Order: sequence, then C-alpha cells, then structure tokens
Amino acid sequence: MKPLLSISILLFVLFSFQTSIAQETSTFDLKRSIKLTPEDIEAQNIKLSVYEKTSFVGLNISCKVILGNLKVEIYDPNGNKQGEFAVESQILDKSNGTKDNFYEKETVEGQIEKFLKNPMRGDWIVKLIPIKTYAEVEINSRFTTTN
Amino acid sequence: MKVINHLILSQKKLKYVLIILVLLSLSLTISHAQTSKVNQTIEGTIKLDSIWNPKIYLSLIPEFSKMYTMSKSMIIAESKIDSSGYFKFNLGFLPKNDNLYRIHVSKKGSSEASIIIGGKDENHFFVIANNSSNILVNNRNRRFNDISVINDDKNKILRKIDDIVRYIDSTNYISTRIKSEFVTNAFNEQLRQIADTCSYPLVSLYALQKSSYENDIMNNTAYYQKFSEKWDNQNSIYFKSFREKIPKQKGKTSSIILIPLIALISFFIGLFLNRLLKQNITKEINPIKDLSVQERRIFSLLKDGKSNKEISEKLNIGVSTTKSHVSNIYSKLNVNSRKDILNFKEEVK
Repeated sequence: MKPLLSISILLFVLFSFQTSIAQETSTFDLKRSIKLTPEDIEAQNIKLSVYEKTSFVGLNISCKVILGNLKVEIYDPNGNKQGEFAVESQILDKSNGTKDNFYEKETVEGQIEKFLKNPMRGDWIVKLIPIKTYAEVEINSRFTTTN
Repeated sequence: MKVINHLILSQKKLKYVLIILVLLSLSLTISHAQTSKVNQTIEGTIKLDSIWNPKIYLSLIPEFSKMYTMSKSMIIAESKIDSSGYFKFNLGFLPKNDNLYRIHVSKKGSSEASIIIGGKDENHFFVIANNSSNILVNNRNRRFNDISVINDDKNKILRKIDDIVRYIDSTNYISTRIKSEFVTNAFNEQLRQIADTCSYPLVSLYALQKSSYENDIMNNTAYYQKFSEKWDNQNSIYFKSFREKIPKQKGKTSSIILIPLIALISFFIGLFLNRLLKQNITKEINPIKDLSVQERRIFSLLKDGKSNKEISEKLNIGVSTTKSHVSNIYSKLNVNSRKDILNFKEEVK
C-alpha cells in the first residue's frame, strides 16, 4: 500500500510539473516574404523585436537571387554583426530578358540559420542590401516566451 | 665441355634476368612518379542523405570577406559523388600558393550555387589547398558539417578551428548570455593562440578570422600588429586586407611613405655634397679666385713681366706694398718666382 501511495504522489508531482511548464511557455512564429526588384536600391532593415520574456529565438533567412546581388546581414541590439551571407548572380543586366527568363538562366540561393537561447533584449535587425536584384527573401522567426 | 656450356648458358640467363630486373625497377619508378603526380587531389567518401544532389563543388574564396558569398563564378570544379559516396577533385590546375577553397553540395531541386549557413543542413566546409595538395576527407554521420581530414596537417588544423567555432555556436544556443560570453571569449583566446603558434600562414590567419578579431582590434592592438609583422613576407590578398584593418604601429612610418622620403633626402644630400665638392675642385683648379682684387691686378702686371717698381708706379702704391702683395700672390698660387708666374696657367671657369 505504501509503495503505491509513493508512486502515485511521484506521478502526480511529475504530471503537475510538466503541465505547469507547458502553461508557462508559448511559441509564436513570424514569417515574412519580401520581393526585391532592381528598382529597390536602398538597404532595407527588418526589425525583429525580442522582449523581456523571450527565452529562445530561432531565425531562418533564405533567399533566391536571379539577377544582381543581395547581401543579408544580422545585427544584435548592440549593433554587432551576428551573421551574414551574400548571393551574387552573374547576370547583372536586366535588359537581356524577362524575369522568367532569368529563372531559367541562373538562380543563386543562400540560407542562414541561427538559434539563440536567452537572446539579447531589444531590436534585432535583418539588413537586406540589394544591388540591381530580382530576389525573393523569406524570413522565418520563432519566438518562445516564458511567463 | 658440357660443364663449360652449362656455365655460359647460365651466365646468359643471368644477364637476361638482370635486364628484366632493371626494366622492372624502371617501370616501377615511372609508375610511382605518375602516381605521385595523380595524387594532387581532394578526395574522399562522404555519406549524405537523399535530399542532396550527388554532386560536389569546389569554389575559390578570393578573400576572407567572401567566405559566405555564393556565386556561380566562384565555382571552379565539380565532381560526381558515386553510390559509395566517393568523390575526387584533381588539383593540378590550382595556383602553387595556398588559397582558401569552399567545398559544398546542394539540395535536390535547389540551384548548384547555394549556400546554407548554420543548422543541420549546413552544406559546406573550407579547405586550404595548392597545386600539390593531397587531401583525403570523410564524414562520420550523414551530415556535411562533420567532415574529418585524414592526411593533411594544414587542413587538420583548419577542421580543429571549425570545431572550436561550432562549439562556440552551440554554447550560444544552450547557455545563458553571460556564460556564452565567457565561453566565447575563452575560445576566441584559444583561436588566437592557434594563430600565434601555427606555422602555416594562411591557416594562422584563418584562425584569427574565426576569432572575430575585428571586434578585438582596439583592445588587443599590439597583438595584431605583432602578428602582422610576423607574416610580413606574405603578400596574398588575404594578408593584404588583414593589414589594412590593423592600425599602424606608433613611430613606425609606412614603407610606402618611408622609401620615397629616404630617396628624396638622399637626393638633396647628394646635390648639396656635389655642389660642395665642385666648389672645392674649382678652387683647387683655379686658385686665382683666392686672390684679392688688388692682387689680381698685380698678378696681371706680373704676367706682363713688369718689375715691382713699374707695378708700384702703375698702381700708385709703395714698392714695399707691392712686394708684400707679390709675396702673398706667390704663397696663394704656390709659386716661387716670377718665371713660375709667367708659366702659370689660368683655368678660369
């Protein structure tokens, strides 16, 4: 009888502990798709706000370039670069065809993944620096907050 | 007779055996030379999931800032990965100096020019190679980022550096911010130590590059200046762009300024010395210039064969004064008599 009671108490504590954790954690995903054309000549800053209770951030940035160049940089709230990559197409002149033609000619792809536990609070910046580009950028971010 | 014949025959046989042996050793030497030439490769066996194309690419990274740049123009070679995972790049066409290269694969349905940074799908690793490298690689798991180099010291160190960086990244993922900052600093210090002790220049610079040295230059300037000085003989673009980021040592003027400055100073000193020398030579050649105006007049009259009295009358001076002038002229022109004066050649320049 005594062991049964102990096991029951142990199971109860275990389940209630797990439930309490599940209740305290929430996750939300944020997806952004950006299309860039040769007319976009200025760098674009995409802000990802990390709040006080954010315990985890997962970031996946991928892009496809079919014309020109695109550089992607990630900055933490202190302005320090935390990652970067660049994709460069050999086709630099859009006068040679339509957008669909470019897809057939050359596609260059880049992707970066970052996982941060207890990330720095503040605004993280994803900077897109295009040079005469046709590009599609996807920024997928996952924020886990603990209450 | 039979014995003699037998001996001659066995001698002939021995001759043939010797010739065959020489030929064999020659062919072995040639085949070995060919084999060692063929061995300028990066090859290995890698296990990959079915999501990847069975092709592998080699790209030249012209400078460290392009490590994470992907362009088709950077791809310089490709190789098929056969069913056993074997691939091979011949390196005979590479430059003789070490350069940084990236080896990558691409996912099925993706462009061959694709780069994935971070995560389990990271699709590339870096090697340092030249036209005589022989690099053998493999991987343990079905992941591309756990490549091991088996036989090349430079690239073994490179993998060690990458392992440290991977460890820093994983610490950032699992630890609190303060702990990961401590760990990052400690590992960056370890990378700087590798850079300091490594005897391969490009590997050494790779270690520094991976230690995020750009954020540390201001705190640790002397270290980077010393490092730059150590590899002063390295003129590759990798080292040139590194040097551009390091502040110059105080009191040390750049050689670009120093050399023309020294040349200019030397030129002016030379010019000055030349003039001084010319003046002395002229003086030696033409001692007339040392004579005063009155002495020159008297010298001219002496040349005409005038006596002291005639000179004193002509110039309206006393005979004793004339004598004194004549004596001075003798001493300045280093002559002893009027005859010497008559023979004295003027070289007026």
